[in-house]
Amino acid sequence: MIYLILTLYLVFTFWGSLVGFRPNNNTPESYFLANRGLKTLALFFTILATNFSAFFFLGFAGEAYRIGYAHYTIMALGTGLAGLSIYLVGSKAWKWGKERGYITPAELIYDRTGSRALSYLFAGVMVVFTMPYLALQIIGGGYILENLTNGEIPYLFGVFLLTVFTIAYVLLGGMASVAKTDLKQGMLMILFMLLAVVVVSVQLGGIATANELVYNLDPTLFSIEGKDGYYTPQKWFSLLFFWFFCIPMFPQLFIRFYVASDLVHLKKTVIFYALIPVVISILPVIIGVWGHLSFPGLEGKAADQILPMMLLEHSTDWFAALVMTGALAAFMSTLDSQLLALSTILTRDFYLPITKAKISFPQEVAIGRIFVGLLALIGLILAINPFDTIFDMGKIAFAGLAILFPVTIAVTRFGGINPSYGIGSIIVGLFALLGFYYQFLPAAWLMGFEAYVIIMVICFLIVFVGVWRKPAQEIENKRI
Amino acid sequence: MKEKKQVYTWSLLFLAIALLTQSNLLFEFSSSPWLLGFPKWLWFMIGVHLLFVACLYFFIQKFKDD
Repeated sequence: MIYLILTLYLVFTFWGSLVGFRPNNNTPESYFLANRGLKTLALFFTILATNFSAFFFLGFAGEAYRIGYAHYTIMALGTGLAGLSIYLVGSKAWKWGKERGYITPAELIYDRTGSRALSYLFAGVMVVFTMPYLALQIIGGGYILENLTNGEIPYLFGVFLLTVFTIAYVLLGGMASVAKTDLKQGMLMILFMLLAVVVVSVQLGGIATANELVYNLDPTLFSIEGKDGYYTPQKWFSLLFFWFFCIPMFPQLFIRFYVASDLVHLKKTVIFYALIPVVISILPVIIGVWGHLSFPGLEGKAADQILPMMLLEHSTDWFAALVMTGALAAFMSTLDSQLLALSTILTRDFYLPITKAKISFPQEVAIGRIFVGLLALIGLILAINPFDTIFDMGKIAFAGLAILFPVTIAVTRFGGINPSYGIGSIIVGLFALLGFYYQFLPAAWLMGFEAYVIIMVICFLIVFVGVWRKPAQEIENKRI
Repeated sequence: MKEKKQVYTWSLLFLAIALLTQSNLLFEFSSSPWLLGFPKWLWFMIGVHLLFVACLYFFIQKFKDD
């Protein structure tokens, strides 16, 4: 039964991508941006499915197991707050993208600042720091397949299988395929996760009863500080505002700012995006917290698998397979968007400007496809031996992307920036991030905050000077 | 001038919401289960979230940023 459900899902997804495949997909705008024609429903679900990933299913549940319900507020409210930053960056990106024909985020940066160096750096940081996030999707898929099949599909074979499958349907149809697949995958993801909570709660005697049982077992899981006082005031502040800075900088999300058919659709999407985490973020968190009733004492990375473990424990095999298919949908809808976004960036922001090649659109797509394969290979290598928990791997990736936010907001909302200061802000931010991660900068400097808070303060200071020192006249647009 | 005033008003409003998210610094929230077995502070934060969405809605509708 498990294999039947998995096969049906894969066929369903592949069929969706074939529907998206059109022989007249023959311009960059149609292949990469679905002709800038997405309306609210499609736009909302493609952003949702792109953003709610392995991190949402396994990472949220695992972290809720380790910390408790406090994790819900950090993720739900934190993600909701990002609605504001998405609007501030996205509405300008949409407007200028439509006027000037941007396809990648760095094209906007280059066109508005005239600095190729800043554009290379911006695009490079996006690619490098999206890689751990991309690997997370592959890791999540591997965990799920291994759990569902009781190890019959080993982790390594599972990650290989899902990656190859995703590459195949990304290569077929570009953004139109991805967006259509995202719509179905987004719906599946929410529906199945909701069903999972209902079924597990029935098995545990209802939501209130299950919560009472866990509370009696460990009341700290219900405290606002989290288990063992995890969320100190500094950490609470840091993580709650983390998403505000990093989510609009996800390249797969940024590119979606360009695909709205009208600003009205983008505005509606932003409202829905801010609202939906109230409901959907609680679902994996509940199961993660309830995991203490059935699987007490899990440590570190082991807790990342609490969701499939709970489903297998409290429902039938076929139901667990059905729900975890929703999780696979989440991984694959993020992975496909990341592969498409990063390959587009590598082609348009690096290959074309460096080689100065005059190539036809089919050649551009062919080069993009080579990059899709290479990126997937790097993701697979990272997935073979994950260097941290899903949540912490995500955090380093997201902090890296957040470094780009001050420059982006300066370009979109502060009237531009002196490129040298933009470059300085990113380089100093990277140095500080790596310094704190690899501990060659003293942790005492953080004063209990997450590293990105201090990094944001420094980057914004540099950027403010850069805004003040920007060239007096408009930089002539050189590219498009 | 009117545009600047609008920017300050919205900034203050969102700043107030940002401060509400840090209410745990001011109040001692109990962790005992309440509605549906979830603690009161969790429902309070859901309220803050919904307030933010309402403000965002009006911001997006009213704010002229062109």
